[in-house]
This record gives sequence, structure tokens and C-alpha cells, in this order.
Amino acid sequence: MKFTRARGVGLLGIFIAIVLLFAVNNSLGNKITETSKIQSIWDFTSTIRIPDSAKLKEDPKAPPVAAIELPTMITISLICGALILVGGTLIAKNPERGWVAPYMSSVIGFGFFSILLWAVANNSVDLSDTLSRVVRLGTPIAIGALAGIVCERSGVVNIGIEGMMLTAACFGYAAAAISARMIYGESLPANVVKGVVWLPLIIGILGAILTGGMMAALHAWLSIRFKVDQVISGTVINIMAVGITGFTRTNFLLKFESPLRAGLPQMPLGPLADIPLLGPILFDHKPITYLMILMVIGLNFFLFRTVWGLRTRAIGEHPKAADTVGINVNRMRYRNVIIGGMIAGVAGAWFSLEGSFGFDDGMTNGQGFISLAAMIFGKWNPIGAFGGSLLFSSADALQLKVQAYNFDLPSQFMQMLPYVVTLIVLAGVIGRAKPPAASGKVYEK
Amino acid sequence: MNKRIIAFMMLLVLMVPVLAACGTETAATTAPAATATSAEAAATATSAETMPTAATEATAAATTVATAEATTGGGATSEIKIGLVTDVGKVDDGTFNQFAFEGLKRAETELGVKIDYIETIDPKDYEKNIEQFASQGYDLIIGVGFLMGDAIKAAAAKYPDLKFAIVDFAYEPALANVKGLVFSEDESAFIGGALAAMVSKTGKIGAVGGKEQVPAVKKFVLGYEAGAKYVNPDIQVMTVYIDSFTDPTAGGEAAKTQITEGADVIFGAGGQTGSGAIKTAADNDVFVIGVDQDEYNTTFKKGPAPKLITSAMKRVDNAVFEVVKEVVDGKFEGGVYFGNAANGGIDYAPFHDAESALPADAKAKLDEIKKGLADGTIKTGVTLN
Repeated sequence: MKFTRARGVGLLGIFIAIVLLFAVNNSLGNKITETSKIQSIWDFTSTIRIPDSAKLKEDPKAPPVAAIELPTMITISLICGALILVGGTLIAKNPERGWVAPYMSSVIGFGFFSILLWAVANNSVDLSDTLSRVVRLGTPIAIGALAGIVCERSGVVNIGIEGMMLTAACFGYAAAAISARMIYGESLPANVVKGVVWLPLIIGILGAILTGGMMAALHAWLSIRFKVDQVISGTVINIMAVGITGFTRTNFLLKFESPLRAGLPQMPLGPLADIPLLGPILFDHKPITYLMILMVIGLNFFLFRTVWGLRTRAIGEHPKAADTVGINVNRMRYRNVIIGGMIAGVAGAWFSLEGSFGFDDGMTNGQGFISLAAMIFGKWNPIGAFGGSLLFSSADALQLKVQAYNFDLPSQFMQMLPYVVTLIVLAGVIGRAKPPAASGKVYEK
Repeated sequence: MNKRIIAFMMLLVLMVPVLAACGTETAATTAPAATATSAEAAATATSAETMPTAATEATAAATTVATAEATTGGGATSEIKIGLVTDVGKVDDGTFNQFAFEGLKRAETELGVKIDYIETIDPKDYEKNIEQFASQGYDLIIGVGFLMGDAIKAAAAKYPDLKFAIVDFAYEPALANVKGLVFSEDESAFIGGALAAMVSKTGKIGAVGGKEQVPAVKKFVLGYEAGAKYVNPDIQVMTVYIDSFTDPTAGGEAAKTQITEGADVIFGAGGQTGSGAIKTAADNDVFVIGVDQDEYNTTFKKGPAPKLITSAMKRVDNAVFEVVKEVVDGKFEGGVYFGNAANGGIDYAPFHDAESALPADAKAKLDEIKKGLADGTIKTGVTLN
């Protein structure tokens, strides 16, 4: 019996399912002594609430639309049993293709779901809150991944996304703070609702985009004009970003008094936001999150349906061939790397203007690197990268959620989850990751 | 060939911001010390004809070890000089740097000591900044922050005759000339937790902590839980730790999960992560409790903050004052100052804008709990293994 990728993945899936089953069994077993009602581990139930988003606004205690009560142990056993069964089939049949990715995705997806059920045994959880958080936290990762795609599709490796995001977050916030001070002076006019003033915030976003573009221009210049190794040049960007932003923050931002008190506001899309479950997930977000969804769709269109996209892909795969038909490879690369940087700038603005308001040292916390993993997961394809981002952010959202239930798993394990998922995904699910052929290579005529 | 030269030039250009940053850094770090010493020298200069070294001190901002030792040797003055090295930040940044500086200022007016400070701009300058004071023979050098632990230890070994103190760090085993200023975070948070339980209507409250492996964070969170249970034994405390002190977004999201699951008071204990949590929670109309300093002045920029009910404070200023006093009284010993409710090392912040939303007897009850903690009738029961 030969060891193949399909068999390896099957084995891994079975292993994960068995460990999960034992862990749940053990932990629920320990909980029995605490309560008198519950006689055996089979008596635990996990309730999943789907709140009534329309009524929730007026009355925080509005009853949920649905409260699905699942028997914890039975559900988890069924899930694990199915995973083991399919894993076994994979090992026995060793299918050539088409099985590995769906199987691994369902191991991760159902694994997360089981952990959620396990954490809320004897309790209930708000499902739409959890899922909407997945989209929110996935926003910067997805935008970063798009930035990476634009660069790498045109043949320039960009590991400086983290640095571009950080700088953009810093100067985007600074632009918003300064412009607010210049427009409104010491304090905002009294008629401003909840401290939201659009003009400085938009200037802030533009500032972030500009900063990202400038950092990317530096990267492009070093790696195209001076043919510096693109990985080195990206690293330079990352290191420089830490220095520049730290310096700006301690010497300027900490002292600066701005009248701005709030970042980008929540923008529910009218009646759409009131749809149970779907509303909070898709139609009740802040502006940059909507922008992210538009950008994913837009980039997918531009990359595969326009002349620009065809040329971009051409110079990333075979620049010489592109050159012979009259495309100016290096000019095109400059332009695309700068566009990529500007996209990364939007992600930067998310950190300091949408996710939270204000700038702190190192506030991107490595999301730029995670977004590169998402890009590879999505095989340099916008829609795929978006899926990858949601996978990583769901690990994050899950760990924030289950910790609040005094969960048995230590918090460190839960915090490790996104990175473990990164490893599993990069090693197994996607099969062979095939980057654009000319990615990372200097083009010389 | 030409291209290469251009490339080299470009590299130099690229280095400029880096070098520039270094330049301003050192300039900024030395500047306050320099002005302070010259001012000091000017003050003593009139009466200091017998001390020729005073004049050299005035010009010697970056004085060498040799002359500095001459200064201390020659300067038989009874004046006690205290130097404060901040953690990255400023003495007016609203963090423990400011608190430490305020304690020092109080010592200046009440005890008549000479004070001086250096604001650290980059963590790698800790040793350099401490060295500046040490080489000039300052009687007591205070480092602010856990992160300065190694730098202070090294300086204490190099200058065994000088005295040192460090905020938020205790050496194991104790060093003979260093005093670690540590605090009973659990007692501080206990009072906050008690208030949380008093105002909670749902019987569920939340806590968002930074890195769980940092003892101060865990003591804050556990103390908060203990305090809440002291007031309402049935209260449910949801706890989320986040593996970063600089992730306000994750902090905010953690607070939101707790709010959707019914929490109506959120305690944030973890640097910017915790501040992000309470900012988001306050935006979602939930009561919040700050940490370390009065976050009314820092996170909420002096208000309005109708949702911030209090902050679990560590009175770094009192601790600094105490240690300076020990030096003045000649009672300084290496070891640990343990700030707790009994010696005023911890406290809770005023209610500010939230006063009207709180029960009328809240303050009386909290003071009673504080008294209980001080005289030992109430124990937080928090132990870290």
C-alpha cells in the first residue's frame, strides 16, 4: 500500500476525529459531578440560538427566531463517525483527485462546529453573532490576500503586506485625526451623532491608501529597478514599518489632541439587515467590510475578464512572451505592485479606523502574513483567497467565543488554532500550491 | 557600473530615515537629563565654589564614568538625587510612567529631593538611559516597567553602591540594592468586580484579559471574578484571554461576544487589548471597568464616558513615593514593596460621569470592601500556581 496525499489526509482526519471524540467524552464526563440533573454524558444539550435581528434593536431581550437544541454527545459522535468513515474510505480507495480538499475542509469546518457544541454544552450560543464575527475578522485578511494576488499575479512576491498595512493604519489614523482637527478645531460640533463625522474618516481612508501605495512603490522600485531580491525588499518594508510607526506614535500621535472620538460606524443595509441569520452575517457591517466583498468580486472580474487582467497574468507567468507582443512588463509591474499596496492600505485603514479606532504599535498582529497564507490557500484566486480568509478568521472567532464559556481547553490551545489550521491547510488541503511561474523572478530583456 | 553606484546611493538614502530616527532618539533621550542637570548645577553653582566639579557637571551631559565618580566623591552634599527612567512613552502619557513621575514630584515637594527623568523612546535604550543616571552617581534610580527587569539587574550589579527600584518587577532571589515595586492586582480588581456585581442586572459579567501567562493579567482577572462572587455568589463571569497586548480589535470582538451572551459589565485588563474591549463595550451601552490607571483620563480622553464606572488602579505614585521616603530616611533595603489595600498601593478610580447610574451606596460599600481587604477580614483567595 503506497502512502499518498489522499491517504495521509484520511489518516489525519481520522486522528483529529478520534482525539476530538475522546476529549469531549472526557471533559463532559468531568462535568457530570457538578450538576445533579445530568446523569450521563448523553444528557447534555447544546442550544443554538438564531436571534430575531429585527426586534433585537428595540428590545435586547427579544426571543430568538429559533433555538435549536442539539444533543451534544450524539451530534458530535455522528460528526466524528462520519469523518472517520470518509477518512477510512480515502485510505482504502486512494482516489486520484477531487477528494482531498473537500474532506480536509469538512474536517476543519465540522471540527470547529463540534468544538462550539462542546463548549456550549448545557448552555446556548448566538450563531449569527459568531458567523458575523467570522466575516468581520476575515476582512483585513481577505483584503491583504487581494493585495498579494495583484502583486504575485504580475510576478512580484510581496511579503511586505504586513508592513504596508501597519504603516497605512498609522498614517490613515493620523490623516483622519489631523484633518478633523483642521476642519473642526478642538471639539466637534454639537449636532454630530455619536461622534461620527464622515469627512475626516474618508480622508483617513484615502491617507491609508496613499501610504500603502507609497510603501509599495518603494518595494517596486527596489525589486524592479534595482533587482533586489523581492523577499529581502519585502522584509525591509516590514522592518521599516515597525520603526516608522513606532516613532510616529510616540512622538506625535500620543500627544496629538484630536476631536475625533469614533471610527467608521455600523451601516446596516435597511430591511436586508433584519433577515434572521443572513442579515447580521452579510448586511450589517461597517463600510470597509462591504468594500472587501465588492473588492473580491471586482478583482475576480478584472483579473479574468479584462485586458488588464490578461496582461497581468501574462507578465506573471511568462514575461518574455508578454514582452514580445508589446506589453511593457516592468511598467505594468510597477503599476500593479502600487495598486496592490493601495489595496493593502485599505486593510490598514480597517485596523485603525474600523476594527478599532486609534493606532497602537504592532496592531496588525501578523494578519498580513496570515493573508499571504490565505492567498496561497486560494491558489492566487480572489474567491479562493476569500474562502481562505474566512477559514482563518473562523478559527479566531471560535476561540474568542468559546473562551467565554469557561471552556475546558486552555486559552493557549485555542489561540494556537488559527496557526495550526494554517499549517494543516498549507500542508494538506490545497494539494500542490502552484504560484505564478515568474513570481519572484526579476525580468530582464 | 553606473547602475551600481546609483543602487548604492539609493541604499544610503534608504538608511537615512533609520539613522535619522536614531539621531532624534538619542537627542531626545539625553535632552531632558541635560537640561535638568545644567539647571541643577546652576542652582548650586553660587554656593559651590568649594565644589569645582559642579561646573563640569553643568557641561557634562554625557559625562564619563570617571568624572562622574569624581562628582559623587567630591560632592559631599546631603542632597539626594533620584532619577526616573520611563518605559517607552512620556511622563505625561497617562500610563504608569505618568503615575511614577507624579509620585516622584510629590517626593520632590514633600521630601525635598532632587528629581530628574529620562523618557525612553526605544526599549533597547533602557540600559543606556539607566547608565546615564548611574554614571552620575544618582542615589536612587527608578525604572518603570516589567520590561526593564534585565537592564536594572545589570546596572545594579555594575553599581553595587547605588540604589535601584523597579516598577512591576520582583527579583527572585532579591537583590541587595534593588527594590521591586509590585502590587496586589487581585485586591484592586476585587473592588472592581464587586462594583460590577452591584450594577449587573443580567447576573453575567465579562472580563477580557491580555496574555494569560503574564501574572498581573491573571491576578486582575481572577481578582475581579472573586470580587463579583463576593457580592453575588451566583454571578456568572465570562473570561476571555487574548494573546496580545496590542490587539484592540480582538479585545473589542471578545467584549462583543460576551455582550451577546448576556454580559452587562465588561472589565478590560490587558494593555491596548483591554482598552479596545472597554471602548467597544461602552459603545454598545454596557458598563465597563478600566485597569492600571484611571482610564477615564487615558482611554476615554477625559470623557464624556457615562459607561466607565471605575478602574482597578495600581497606585504606582504611592509606591514610588514610599521607596523615595525609605531612601531619605536611610531605611532602604533591597527586596520587595508590595502595594496592597492596606498601604494604599491599590485603589479604585472615581466614578466620574457614571456616578448617577450607580446605586447611591456604591461608594460606601466599596470603601467597606477596601477596608476589609486592608485589615484582612476579606481575602481575595487568588493564588497563582
